[in-house]
Amino acid sequence: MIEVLYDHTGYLARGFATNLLISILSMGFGTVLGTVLGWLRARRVSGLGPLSHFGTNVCRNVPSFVLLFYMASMIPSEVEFGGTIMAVPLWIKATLALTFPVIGFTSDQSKGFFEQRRAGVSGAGEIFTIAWLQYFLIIIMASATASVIGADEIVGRANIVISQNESAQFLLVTYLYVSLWFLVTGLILSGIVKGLTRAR
Amino acid sequence: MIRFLTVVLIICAFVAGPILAQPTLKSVALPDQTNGRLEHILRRGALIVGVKTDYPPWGMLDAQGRIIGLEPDLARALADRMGVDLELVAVTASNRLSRVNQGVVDVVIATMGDTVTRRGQAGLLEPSYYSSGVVAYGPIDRNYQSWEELRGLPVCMTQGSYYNRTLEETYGVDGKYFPANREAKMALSFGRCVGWAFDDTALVQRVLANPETNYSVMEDRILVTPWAIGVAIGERDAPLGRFVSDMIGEWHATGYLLALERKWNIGESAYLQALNAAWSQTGPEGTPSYCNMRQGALPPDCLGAPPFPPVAETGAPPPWVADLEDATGVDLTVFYDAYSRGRLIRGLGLTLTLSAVAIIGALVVGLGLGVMDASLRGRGLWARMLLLPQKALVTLARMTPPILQMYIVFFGLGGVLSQSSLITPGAFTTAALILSLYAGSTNAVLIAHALEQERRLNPEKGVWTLLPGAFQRAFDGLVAACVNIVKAAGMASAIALAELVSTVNLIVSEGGDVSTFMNGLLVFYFLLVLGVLWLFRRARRWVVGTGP
Repeated sequence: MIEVLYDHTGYLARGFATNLLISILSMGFGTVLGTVLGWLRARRVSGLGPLSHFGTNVCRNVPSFVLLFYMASMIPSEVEFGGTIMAVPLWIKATLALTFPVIGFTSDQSKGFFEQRRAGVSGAGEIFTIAWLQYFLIIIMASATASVIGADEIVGRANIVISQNESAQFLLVTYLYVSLWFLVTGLILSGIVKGLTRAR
Repeated sequence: MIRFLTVVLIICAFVAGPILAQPTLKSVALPDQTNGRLEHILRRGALIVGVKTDYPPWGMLDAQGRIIGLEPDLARALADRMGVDLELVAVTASNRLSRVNQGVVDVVIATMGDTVTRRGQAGLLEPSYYSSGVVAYGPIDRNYQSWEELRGLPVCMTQGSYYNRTLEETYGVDGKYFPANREAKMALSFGRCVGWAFDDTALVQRVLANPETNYSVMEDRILVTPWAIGVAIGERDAPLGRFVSDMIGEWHATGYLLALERKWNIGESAYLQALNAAWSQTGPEGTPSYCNMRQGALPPDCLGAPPFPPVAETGAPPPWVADLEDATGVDLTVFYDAYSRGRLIRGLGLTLTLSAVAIIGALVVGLGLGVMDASLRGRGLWARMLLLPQKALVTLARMTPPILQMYIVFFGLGGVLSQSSLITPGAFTTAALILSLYAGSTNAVLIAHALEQERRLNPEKGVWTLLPGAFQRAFDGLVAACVNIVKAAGMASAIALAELVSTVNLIVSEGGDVSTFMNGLLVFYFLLVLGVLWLFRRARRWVVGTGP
């Protein structure tokens, strides 16, 4: 059992790289777009302020799990670019689905950041960074749901490994092994957050 | 010598005569004029075919993880004739129609039963290339032999199978839906249902391949249906559909499908033998073949069995439903079908109940673990020892993806428990427990932190007297965690809890309008979260008399 898992470690690790890629990209896109919304809300830009408030509400309230199915069924699977047909891989759809909650989160956090900075409150940047890192952890955990639409990430790959052996024990051990990858990543991120909190 | 050779030649002529006299089968060629999907495939230089990977030997994975089987062989034959590369994509019963209509795959050759309903949802091609019925697979000691014996009993089903609804409505089984065969089979072996209702083809092969296991297949094969290869809706009569149909005809005529049955050790089926006999006949008036597709409608014996008839839907929608669909594209027809409406209402009820139970659970877990942390912190070695399991639980619950936790508890732990004859938690209990723990562990951190801050202000007070203040302090965080849990409740669909996300996916897989249902689901969740936020604000005002 352990040998089988050892043999598949490289395969699972490449799947986990997809989880990290999905998480990093959705945090990246979401942060940029959310910061713009947050700035518009903090500045109370006429007309755009209420609109960005509504946009934030939508992003915050709609579950990423539902958005996954939404993106999977509503986004075309191929696009034509300069005469070349290109497939839209499922991990990109998962990234888009996870970008929405990040926009909602960053919009709220950056609104607070801009308001605090204007009020001259010190440490607004650190508060933002710590909250952002904690949210990154939530997004990494959420990236595991990408397997439900067939994205080729670690949980999906674990299911393929499990399908070759029907014993309950093997299934349990494989899932626990995959959990370990998430746990270690979570602990590393928490370590960084603790380090930053102490540095404040 | 010459006389001897003459005799040999005459004998040869007698033997070869009837063979040569048979019509020579002309191989199907690509049309000169291509358009639509076929043109797209040729430009791309690759044919993408959706096949099964959990249906040995029709579609399965080899030791290296490559997709092989009878249907991948058919896909290869199509790509070779087109002169393009082949890409195989794994599909399931619940997503194969949407995958081909979305254009993720060009063709589906995925053990798909030909039904009248599906003919309206995608381009199902004739002639059929296989056939199957439904049987139940279960432990030998139970020995169910007819569907009547399963009335009222929980039966595991694979989402998207054409017979699921008839089994529930007509045969009265209590369907437990799983996204794929793997989960349905696991759920059966872990005692979550008494049998698994699936195609006899797959289940008979399963019993033959694993004679040592204590499972058998019932004799009562019902709802027999032909299998169809599918293309996107609208492509059936376009060059792609016509080309693939011609190829299926050629496979019957040349005995290629029978040869594949032998190759994959299935044994020749009477269904394919009959089709081979029909397709290898000569036509009545010198036509190259009796089953000539260019002569109009094919004789019934060239097509195979007729498609599975549609399920009679109850209640016709009023005219405004059609008007609404014409004007906005929103298709509400499904709500006028009592069966689908009932499932949606049950799904809605389960989503709301699960959300409520998980919110209460998350607050209770958060309160318990948070107070434990605040009471034991800084109280010496024994308290630190007591806090260790609390910390481990909080870390594990927060840093393991909840969907993985559900798989671990439902399939992994549930499987191990069922083998040791202990009570195994059901899907609802598992989901409620995992969601309560996941959000509860975040709540615990928030409450412990808030209690710590309250204690700094009032060092003389006990933990329980500080609690109301701590709740106030942590309120926004607690609400956020509880809202997250409502949003995450849809994950329970992964372990066959028939809540709203699961039900919507099921209805979409059966032909419900994707755009109406997906947009409807988003709007529903948007309003649900707004409702939960409103309830929390009301509760706060009610408890403390003030609030935002």
